[in-house]
Amino acid sequence: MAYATSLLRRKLNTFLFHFLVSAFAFVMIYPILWLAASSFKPTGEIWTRVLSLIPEEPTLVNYINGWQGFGGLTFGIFFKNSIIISVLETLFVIISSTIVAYGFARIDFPGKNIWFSCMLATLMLPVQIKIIPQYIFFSYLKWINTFLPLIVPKLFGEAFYIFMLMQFIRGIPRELDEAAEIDGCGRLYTFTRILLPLLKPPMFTAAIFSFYWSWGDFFTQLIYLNNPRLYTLSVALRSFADPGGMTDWGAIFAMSFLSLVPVLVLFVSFQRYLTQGIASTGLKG
Amino acid sequence: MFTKDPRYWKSVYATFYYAIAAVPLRLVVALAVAMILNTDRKGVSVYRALYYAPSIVGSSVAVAVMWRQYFGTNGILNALLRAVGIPSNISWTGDPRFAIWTLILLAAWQFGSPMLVFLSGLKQIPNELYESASIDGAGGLRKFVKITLPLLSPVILFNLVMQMIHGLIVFTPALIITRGQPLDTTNFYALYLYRRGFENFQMGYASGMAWVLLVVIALFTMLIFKTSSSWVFYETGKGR
Repeated sequence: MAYATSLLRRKLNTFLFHFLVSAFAFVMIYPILWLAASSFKPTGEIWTRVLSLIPEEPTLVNYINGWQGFGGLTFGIFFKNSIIISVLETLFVIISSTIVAYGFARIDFPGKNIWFSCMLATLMLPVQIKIIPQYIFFSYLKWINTFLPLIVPKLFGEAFYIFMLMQFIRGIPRELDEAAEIDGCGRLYTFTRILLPLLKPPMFTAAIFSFYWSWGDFFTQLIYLNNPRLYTLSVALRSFADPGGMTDWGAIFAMSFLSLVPVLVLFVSFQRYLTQGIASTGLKG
Repeated sequence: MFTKDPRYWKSVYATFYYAIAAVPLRLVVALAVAMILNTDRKGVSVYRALYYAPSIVGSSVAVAVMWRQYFGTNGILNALLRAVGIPSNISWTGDPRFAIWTLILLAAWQFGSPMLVFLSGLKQIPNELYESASIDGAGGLRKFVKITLPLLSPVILFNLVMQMIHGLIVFTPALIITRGQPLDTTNFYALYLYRRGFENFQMGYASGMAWVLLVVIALFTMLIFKTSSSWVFYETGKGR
């Protein structure tokens, strides 16, 4: 009898746990669902049936209208720009960061500690502080209104990824390197043939992070890209939703949601990598 | 800057107001949710993903655009209030009293990453400690105050400092949702710096602002390193 009641109690507890946690989860993702639902509602319905998540007359008209964009530029162009920038940034930052991480983790050179502290210090340096000297520098190079100020700096690595990859390399036994050296491998060969294959998983995690941050970046893109033809999704959405312009909210929501789709897909597919990356480094967010 | 520009001081005030309200709020929610999710019940990983989802999209322009609509005159909040019988036509983002709170709420909504850090911290607390405390007759609150908080303190401190730095440089939501309005109550430091430098083209002024920000952030960073000896100690095995 006592056993039966305690079992019942446990079941009730579990039920309560799931009930409360999923209710709160619903509140948490309601805004995202709302955005998705509104993008399929006809313009009139968005504000008359504000709270509902199920469109009464589902329609794609918002997507068709929104895709037209503004000033003769469709959202296809903005998507293309965002993809070019995110892919190149990711590619460059991962390649360079891996090489730098290898250097810090495996090669002894004079001044290593000083350089390492410098690298770590940049981890704490927000872009808002660097932006003005950087902007002046790039304007001397006549790089304003090109993708170069966004992409080229990535060739010099980024502290977050360098640090993450370093931690991983340190976990690989040095004996592997030494064995390769005894077999006559040079440094380059050891790096490309022995370490790189082992580094694939953390590089992949870093790549997901990098793509996700490049895609969502707004501040630097806003500053360096002033020509609408070069706008990325973030910058374009901002102009699109400017109250001075149009007020076709359905179209704005449709394009907003569309811009989130790649990020959400990435998140759903590689959730494990992302959450582990954040839990282990504790940085960014 | 310090003596002749009241807008500067107003932006400093707004920034600290925001950071001091938003960061603890975010951390409290993050810790509470992390503690609830720290069980081996089924489906926890799904919940964790759902709670983390807002953080993954949260800083984007798209979310900022829609956040502005939630708190507009015809937005969700007013619709909700009307549904429970309170007639409300306030534009929450346009009212100097409430505008900053819509941004604070947006920050609190994205508690995902501190939650994950807390979760990994909680996992490292040995279960035996709680069991022996139960045997000694300690209640839930007592266990939380005497075991969880002290053992988690390094993680809490780390989260606090990192989130403070992020709070001080918030930009996108202020530009999109409130445009620094109304009455400059949300004209945050990074936004004001941007406006001075890239809208008024006063690069010198903006550089000066950047230097001050650098000093403030350096102070916070020093705080991490000064205290790091106490929090690295706890993270056995999985050090930074």
